[in-house]
Formats: sequence, structure tokens, C-alpha cells
Amino acid sequence: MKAVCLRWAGGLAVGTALAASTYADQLQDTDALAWLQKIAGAARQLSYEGTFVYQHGDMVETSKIIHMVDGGSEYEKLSTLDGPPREVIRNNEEVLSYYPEIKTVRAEKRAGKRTFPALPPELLTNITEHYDVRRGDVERVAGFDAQALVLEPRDGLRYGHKFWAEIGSGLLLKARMFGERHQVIEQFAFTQLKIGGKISLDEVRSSYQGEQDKWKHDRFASNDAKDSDSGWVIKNQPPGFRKVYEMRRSKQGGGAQLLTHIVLTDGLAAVSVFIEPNSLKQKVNEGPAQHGAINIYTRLVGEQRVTVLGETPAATVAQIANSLAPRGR
Amino acid sequence: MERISALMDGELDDDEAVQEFKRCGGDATLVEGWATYHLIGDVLRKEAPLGAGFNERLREALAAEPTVLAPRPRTFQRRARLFALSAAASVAGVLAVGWLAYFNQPIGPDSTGGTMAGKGPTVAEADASMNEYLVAHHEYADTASMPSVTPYVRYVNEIRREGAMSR
Repeated sequence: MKAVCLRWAGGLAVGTALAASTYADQLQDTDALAWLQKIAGAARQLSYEGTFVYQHGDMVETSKIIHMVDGGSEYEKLSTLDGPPREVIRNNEEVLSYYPEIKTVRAEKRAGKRTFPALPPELLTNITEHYDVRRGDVERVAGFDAQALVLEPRDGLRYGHKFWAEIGSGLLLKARMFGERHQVIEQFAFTQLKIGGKISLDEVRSSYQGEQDKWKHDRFASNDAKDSDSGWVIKNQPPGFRKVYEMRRSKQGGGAQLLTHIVLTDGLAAVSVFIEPNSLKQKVNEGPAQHGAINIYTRLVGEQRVTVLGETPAATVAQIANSLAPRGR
Repeated sequence: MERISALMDGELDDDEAVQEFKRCGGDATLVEGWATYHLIGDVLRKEAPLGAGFNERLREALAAEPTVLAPRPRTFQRRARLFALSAAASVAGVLAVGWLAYFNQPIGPDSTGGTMAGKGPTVAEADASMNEYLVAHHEYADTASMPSVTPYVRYVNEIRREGAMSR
């Protein structure tokens, strides 16, 4: 910060006219950041229902969402409209996932409490340090006027984003993630939406409520996931990414074997690190892989299988994977 | 909201500022806007923000204070308030320019992005052993970042692929 002040002091001599014009540019940024705050708050505080498309790679999928806020409690029902029927029922931190064709419901109560009333300051700092945030034009999305926001990454370790927020409420109507050549990597957009209005509790209950008693209840999830020190360190952590979770969780289908899961974020992009013993000496496909918008990098470190994945360029997950090591070694 | 920004930056004259303060007093979203702009200012200046719930705590603390019944020297209060504001706005201006100078340093996409290998067509598609990881990633990772419309947009799409074959 000292260097910054010195630079500024030098700039003072140039004249106040210049300062005034750059100050005006700066105000634009402030407004863009206020929009980010507004978007973050709107998603949690508004009741709405609508249909959205989600596109990644060459896949386009349509789902329906009903989101209801009642006295500070959040209820949400997500249902797929194409492909295999799936339903996700959420009440605050409690998530139920329904798989009707295999008559299974998976219950998960998330370990860490992460309900943000708005964008936490540390996330906002992270974002402004690694993305250039500015306002775009007002455009029409799903029949609403929407303020566009552009978040351009400041380096090649993360993707760019464009958000379209409903001009009155700030609800995110459309979001696009783009790569270094501005190619679209992933896109989410409402095609039909109703904001506000009365939503009853019945509308956010599962459609399978009557039959779920006879279903298989899978309670694996992260009930047993606790914040813990895995004993692994990332020696060359990409700038801007910081650790938000570190936990040990049970594997799907039970078993005594535990899996380490570390989550890093730069405020917009998240990366997961998974470490588990390769006890069955299975063949591991080391190196890069991808899945839709996600890049993956797998590596064997001694007897441990290390997998790093996230919505980032391939270089970012590779850098993390290649610098993971047990502490002290 | 634009007027809140202008008020903060000391761009309004005395009468307009008083108007804006009155408007603020009666409108929760404007008060929130005022807090947001200050929070953003703090973040830009890298100062420690007051943290969530500060306003509520302050309000409670004030409510707990005994009320002193005495005539208010209104004019003086208003002047003091406006002076404090314009002083704050000047400081904000200085810091904003400093911030810009800082970010105008060459740290653009070319410095690290240039060395990044282009994503070749040969990258393998994730095999089935990744399913569990992908689901776990979406459960946790998406809520660790900026909340958008719902953190479960990616999750619900991921679990479409999960099902009979992975169980």
C-alpha cells in the first residue's frame, strides 16, 4: 500500500483534472461492486419460481426452480425437466436429493454453515484483486430488463464471467463463464421467471413425499464431515485461491475408508482437492481430464490418489495437483 | 442508489444532502445502500470492514443508551455532519485514485496467461470414478463462492448422470 501512495503522490503533480477523470472511472467500478452485492443478496432473500437452461460443453439441460423465503428460512425445490427425473429439496443447510427410478433419497446436512446474507467482505476483496469488474449494458433477459456485469480475470488462472441481474431486484437472470479466447464454457439462463408473489410450503415439498418412506435412504453425505487438518499442503497455491473447507468424509456406499476433501475459492471459482489411499492398487489415469466446464488433474503421490478439479483453466488444477505434498516432506 | 453514491462522494449541495438524509431515514433499502457503498469503500481501501451485523449491533447499543431529553442544537449538528461527510469524501477520492494507480500496473492476462497451454482436443473425458468427486465438489464448492441464483444449479445437473449405473 505504501508503494501505491507513492505512485499516487507522483500522480498528484500531473494535475487534478486527470485525477477527476480517473475518479469518475473508479465510481463505475464501485457501482459494479454494489451490483455484485445486490446479486448475492437477491438470490437468498427473494421468492421466485422459474425455468432455466444450463449449458456446458455440448449439453443443454432444463430445470425448474421454486425458491421461497419465509421468516428467514429458505426453501427450494429444483427439478429436472429433461433426462432422468431428479429432485433436490433444500431447507437452509439440509438437502434431500431424490432419484425416483432407483427409489433412493439421499439426505445431506451440510457441515459448515454458509448462508451469506450478502457477499462477505473477504470474498469481495478477493474478487476485485483477481477480476476487473465493470458494468455492461442494460439488456433484456427472460422478459426482464437486466444490468450486465463483466468480470474479466486479471491472469490466466481463472475464467471470465458475465452476469445479467434483474434491474429492480438484482436476481441473477443469466450467467456466462468464458475462457481465454472468450469462448463460452458454461451458461445458465432463465427462460421464464416470476419474481415475488405468494409461494406456499406445499409447492416446495417433494413430489415423492408420499412414497419416500419405502425408498432407500442414503445418509452417507457429510454428516460426519468435520473441519480437520488433513496433513497435506499446497506448496504452490495459485494467487487468490484460499482454503475454505478441509474435511474428512465417508465414501459413497459406506465403508471405513475416509476421503479428504479440501475446497479452495478465489471468490468466484472453486477448486476441490480429493485425497484417498489407492488401497486396492487400482489403475489410476494420471494427468488431465475434463468434464463439461470442469478441468481435472489426477496424480499418484506415494500410495495416495490425488484428484484436483474445478471450474478453472487446466493450468490451475494442474498447478495445485503438482504442488500437493504431505506436510514436512 | 446513484444519489446515495453522490451523497457519499460529497457531490450534493447542502439542501440536496439534507433531502437525501431524510429519504435515507425512512427507507431501509437506501440505508442498506449507504452501508453497502461504505463497505465497498472499505474493501477498496483494504481497511478491515466493520463486519456483518455491525449496524444491528450499533442500533441495539444505541437503543440501550438512556435517552437524554434536551433541546437539540440542530444547525450545528447538521453542519458538523456535512463537514464530516465532505472530509470523508475527499479521503475516499484520494484513495480511489491510489487504487486505480495500483491496478494500472501491468498485471494483465498476458503476464501469466501467455504461458498457459491451450486446451488440446486430446484431454480425456472424466471416467466414472470421478462421479462421486464431481457431486461432492458441487455440493460444497459452489456454496463456497459468490452465491448466484442458487448454488445447486450445477449440482442438480450433475446428479442427472448419477444413478443406477454408479450404484
